[in-house]
Formats: sequence, C-alpha cells, structure tokens
Amino acid sequence: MKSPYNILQSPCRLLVASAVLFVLFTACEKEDAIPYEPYEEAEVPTDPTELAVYNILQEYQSKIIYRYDRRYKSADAFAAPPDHDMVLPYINNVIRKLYIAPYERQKTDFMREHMPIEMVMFGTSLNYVEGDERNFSASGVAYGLSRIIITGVNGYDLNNPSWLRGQYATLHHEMAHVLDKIYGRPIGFDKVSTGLYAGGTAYNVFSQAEARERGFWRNYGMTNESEDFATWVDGLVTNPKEEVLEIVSANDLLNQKYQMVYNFYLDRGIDIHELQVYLQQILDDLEEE
Amino acid sequence: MKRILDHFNKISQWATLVCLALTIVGIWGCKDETTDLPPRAEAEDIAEIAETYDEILTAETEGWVLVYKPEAYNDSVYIQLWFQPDRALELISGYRGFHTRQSGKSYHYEGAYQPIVVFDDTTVFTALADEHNGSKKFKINYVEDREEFELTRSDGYNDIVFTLKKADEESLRQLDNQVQDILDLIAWEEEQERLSQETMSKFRDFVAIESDFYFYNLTTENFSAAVNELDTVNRSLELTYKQTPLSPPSTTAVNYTFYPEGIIFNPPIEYGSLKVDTLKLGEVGDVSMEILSAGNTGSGSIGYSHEAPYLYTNVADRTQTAAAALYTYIGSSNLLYTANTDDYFSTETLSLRSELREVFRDKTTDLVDERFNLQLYFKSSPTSTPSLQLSSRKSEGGNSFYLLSHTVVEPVLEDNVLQFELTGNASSNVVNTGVRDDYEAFYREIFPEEGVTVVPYRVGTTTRYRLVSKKDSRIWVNYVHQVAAQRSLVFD
Repeated sequence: MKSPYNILQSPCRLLVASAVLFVLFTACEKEDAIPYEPYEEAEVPTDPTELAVYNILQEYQSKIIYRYDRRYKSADAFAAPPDHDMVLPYINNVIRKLYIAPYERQKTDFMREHMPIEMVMFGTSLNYVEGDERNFSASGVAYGLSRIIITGVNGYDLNNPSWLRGQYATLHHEMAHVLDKIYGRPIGFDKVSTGLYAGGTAYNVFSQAEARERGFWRNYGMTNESEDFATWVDGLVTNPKEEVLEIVSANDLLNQKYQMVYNFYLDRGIDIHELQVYLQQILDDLEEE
Repeated sequence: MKRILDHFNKISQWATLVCLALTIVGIWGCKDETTDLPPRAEAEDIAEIAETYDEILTAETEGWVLVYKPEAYNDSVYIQLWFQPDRALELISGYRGFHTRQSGKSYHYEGAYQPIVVFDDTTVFTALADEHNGSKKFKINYVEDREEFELTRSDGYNDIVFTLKKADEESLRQLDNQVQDILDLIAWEEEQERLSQETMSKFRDFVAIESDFYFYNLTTENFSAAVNELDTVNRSLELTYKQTPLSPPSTTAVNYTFYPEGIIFNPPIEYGSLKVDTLKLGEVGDVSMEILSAGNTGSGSIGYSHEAPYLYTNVADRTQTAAAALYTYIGSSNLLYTANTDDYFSTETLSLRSELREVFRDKTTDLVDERFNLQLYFKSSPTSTPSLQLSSRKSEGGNSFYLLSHTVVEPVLEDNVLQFELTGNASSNVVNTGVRDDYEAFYREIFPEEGVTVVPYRVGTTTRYRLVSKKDSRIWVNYVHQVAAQRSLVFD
C-alpha cells in the first residue's frame, strides 16, 4: 500500500518535472552575446573649421559649438549665429592665442584641466527682449564649469584693438566663473563687501566711483559675489599692474579683494599680471602692424 | 497527527530541494552568452612614454632634424639635434648665433596628459621663442609607421605640426646651406664694417680739406648744388640747387647717415625723374672727394671748385644771366669799377696787384699807393670797344688811365661767363711806360682765357658783381656798377 507520503509524492513529482521542463524550455532559451564593436575614432575632419574644432577637442577636451541652436540661449534673448567664415579665424586667433595660450604658457596643462566642456559661439551679443525688465545685452555667459557662451564673433577684426580687448576681457571673465565653480571663490572674498552689493537695486545706478568705494572693480560686479569675482579678473587682465596697484591703493576693500584674486590665480600657477602683459603685447603688435 | 506532520515536513523538504534545483537550473541554464570584451587598455604613464622616446631618439647617432618655423619668422630654421643619454643634447641650427654645434645642452619632459619636450634655456629654441614668437616647449608624439615625431608648440598658440625626422642627406644639405648663408652673411657684414670704417675715414679726410677755391659744390652729371653748410655734429647738409637753368634756386637741408659705401640722404632730394638718395664715395683729392654715384644723377665730386654750381640769373628775367646783363648796352658809363681798398680783391688778387703796383712804382711816377683801381668798361656807345683800364694817381694831380682793349665772347654769356679777348690795342701810356707785359700778365690772371664767372652779391640794397676766375677761383675782384639801374638788378 502506498504510504500517504507516496500518495502525495506522485503528483508532486509530476508537478516538479513539469516545472523543470517549463523552466528548461523557457528560461534556458539562450540569447546570443552582444557583439563587441570596438570604438571607432571619429575621422579627422578635412574641413579646416571642423579640423580646428576637432583639434581643440583633442587637445583640451573642450567642444566648440558654432552651429546655431536656440537652446543655448534663453527664450527671451536674441542672437545671430556666427558667420561660418569667422569661426576658423576666431578659433585660431582669439581662442588659441588670446584665451588658451596665455594660461598654457605659464602652466602646462592648465587649460586641459580647466577649459569648459563646451564653448558656444554666437555672432552677436545676446540681446534680451526690449521692454523686459532684463533689457540688456550680454557679451558672454558661463554656465557653471561646463559651458561658456561666446558672443560678438561676427565682429571679428584683428585690426580693431577695441573689439579684441573686449573679446579677451569677456573670455577671461567667463573663465573666472569656471574657476569659481571648480575651486570656489577665495575664502573671505564674499565677506569683503558684505552689505555693499546692489541687492535689489540695478547695479548700473551706481557710478564707477561708488562701486570702487564699495570694493568693486566695476559696478557690474555689484550684481552678486560671482560677478564681483569675475569682474575683478577681467579688470586685472585688461589693466597694467601699475595702474591696478594704484587703483587698489584707494581703499582697503579694493586691496583685500585684489590680493585674494591675485593669489587665487597664483596658487594655480598663473600670474594674472603676466597674463595681462602677454595680451597687451599682442594688442601692441597689432597696432604696430 | 504526528505522522501527518512528518509527511508534511518531508514534502516541505523535498519542495525546498526542488526549488533550489530550479534556481540553480534557472541561474546556470538561463545564463546568457557573455560578450568577450578586449582587456581594458591601461593608459601608459607619461614617464614611460618619455623613456621610450628617449630610447628612440638616442638610437640615432646621426641625430634628428627639425624644420621649425616660428610664428614671426619668415623662414624655416633647420635644427639638427643629437639626443644623448641622461637627456643631454647637442644641436646646431641654421639660425645665426646658434650655427655652430652646441654641446652640454639638455632637455626634459613635462605634461600630465601628453609628453611635452622642453629644450633648455640656452638653446636656439629660446632665441626663436624670444625673438620670433616661437616656442621651446612642444607636445611630442611618435608616429610609429613613419618613424618620426610630430611636435606642436605646447601653449596652444596654434596647432601647426612640425616633424622631427632622422637626419638624412637632404635635410643636412639644407641645414648646411643655411649655415653657409650665415657664414657668408657674417663675412659680408665684416666687409661692410670694414668699408664703413673706410668710408667714415674718407669722409673725415674730406671734411678736413681746406682750400681757398671760391665755390663749394656737390656736382654730378645731372645735378649740381652749392653746399652751404656741412654740419658733421648733427650730420646734416644744406644745399642750394636749381632744377633747371631757368628755375629759381631751392635750398634744402638733409640729414645724412653712413652706409658701407657712402652716405644716405634723409630725406632724399627728388625732382622730376632725378633722385639723390645716396652718395657713393670715391677717392679724396686735394680739394674735393670723388662721387662714384649720387642716386640716379651720375658721378661727380663734392668739395671745392673753380666752377659755379649753377647759373646766376635775373630774378625778373630768368633767361638773363648776370654776365649777359652786364654786357647789355645801356649807354654811357657802362662800367664796373673798384675802389683802392683791399676789400675789393681776394687775397690772391691782392698779391698779384701788389706785384703790378711795384712795377708801376718803378716804371711810372704815379702815386700808386693813393690810387690803383680797376675799371672794366663795357660798350658805352654802340660802336665803342670794351676795355680794362687801370687807374692810378698822377704825381702832378689827376688820374692816369692805362687801357687794354678787348672784345667779349658773346656765346658764353648765356653760361654766365665773361670771356675777353685782347684786341692788341692799348693806350699809349701802357706802351710808353714799359708796363705792358706786366700789365697784360696781370690782366690774364684776373681775366684768364677761360673767362670769369659773374657772381652777383648784395651789399645793403644794391647789387655788386664779383668776377671769379674760372681758371683759378682764388682770384676774384669785386666791382661796383657805375649805373644805378644795374645796381638794382637782383640775381640768384
């Protein structure tokens, strides 16, 4: 006589066997391995502009984007795309000579380690909607440490020192934002002018003299601490050391910030006054030509 | 009840085993085929790459050649480099100052992402960096299939690639050519320096010339100017010249600098198609210096001369020379005269005059100390004959006039020259006193066959006339015209 165990066992075996078979037929239906496709390096472009972009990407891991895409600007801003003919000379003569080289000459690999991931070109300034309370034009924008917006490319003219100076002032201003995001502003910088920023007031109601009295390089720096830091940098790269020292000797607030900004760069291997001398030399050479 | 529970436990154990088996089957049996990935590539350390590069570089005993063009240099510079153990370096280049083989140099590497070769500060690379916006630091990359290195300046200033290749016959030939060019240039410069020294010495000798010749000119085949002033301190010349014989004179000051073969005018003198921008200097003579060329105006000389630099013409009528104006018949009293004082005569003429005076003292009774004047007559009537008259004081009172008749050679008047031919006629006192030979000899000194140049000059508001011997300009006499209208004419 079958034991109750056996009685119970028989259907159970059947059930188990069925389950096993089911699993084997379903779960063990094997898929092919995903084939390995080796990474193919992008072909080196033959178009000179694309090649210049490619080389910058290879050397500094920074992508220059010059094709117009409205997503790179805010909806209430207008800007024209860069003229294609201007892009290559701009890369070779502005980005390389006036933006990358000044740092790299002083500190090897500095730009490889600090250049923003993307640099987006526009042909004109970013003009915010007229009538809007934001109504103004921006000559550059930095988005964190990843992207810089370059404007005014269509005005490219190496024989125009004013344009050139404006371009490199903007580039180094935006670079200051990048460094700010990577390292943070110098300790204590934000406290120097505590309570003296424009706050809810438009910065441009303050004169240059008032801004300087409050420890700002220029009134745009009164917008916030980040712009305060970046305006100091564009001031230092566009003015000779002697003039800077004379300006900052006017009050202790200016002097404190100058020391902080100067040392911030020096700690990273960059003497910002040497940077100014190099840039000024390029302008002088152009004027001699 | 216990049995039931036992059975239940057994069943439960069995089910557990089955589930476990199913899980194992599920895991093993249902495991997908995996993709075979290549081993993860490990980034080679920069130091290792550098060592590999060192091995490749030092293996070439003939060295490597880099053809490098700095940003602000017109040419490419060939540089041969011998890389040696311990990162020692020897190099030679086709760049001046570094065109001989340098040893005891070094190089090293930088860079965290890509090797950057850095040549030491005393090599040609630093010179090219400082003087021609080059670089001494290059990103370096070995291209295995071509067995050569690619170098790009490391600061990102541009992305131009230069190739460092094993030295071969062609590249060494190019390097040799550049080095030879430098050696030739150095030799040439040394020669130029020698010539410069020679030129400056020549110019010093020229400036030191002293002479009583009347004129001081710069004259070439197609250009002639009076040298009014030569200032060796400020290195400047003031010149007066006429663009054409009928032009008014132009006065200009030019600075000069030396070049190996002469001097350079700044600014150059230019008019029409003529240009005097340089004076190529020749030999220095007694009174002048040879000019081998003066711009495009031909050869000539600078210095003292018996010849006037240009024609002196009437400012009211440029076609009329001073000589022609004197010769023009204007009626009676058409004569020039001197006073008895020394200031009417040049030093040389005074000497001649003294000698003649002694003759007259010996052979006449005249009081030659009181009066011994010259009077040069042009035509006082349409038929009269011009003459030179020497006038002295008679002992009994009144004046003696010793007359030598002559005619004027008219064609040379337009050259501003008075050229006289003695007619052979003389006054009786000339013949009778026996002074004729000496008098005629004196005459031929002050009026040589070559003629005299008429040099008008102003005294106060009147014009006087200096007649300068073309044969020997140290001999000249100042005259006053008898006719007021002639004294009012202005020439330059």
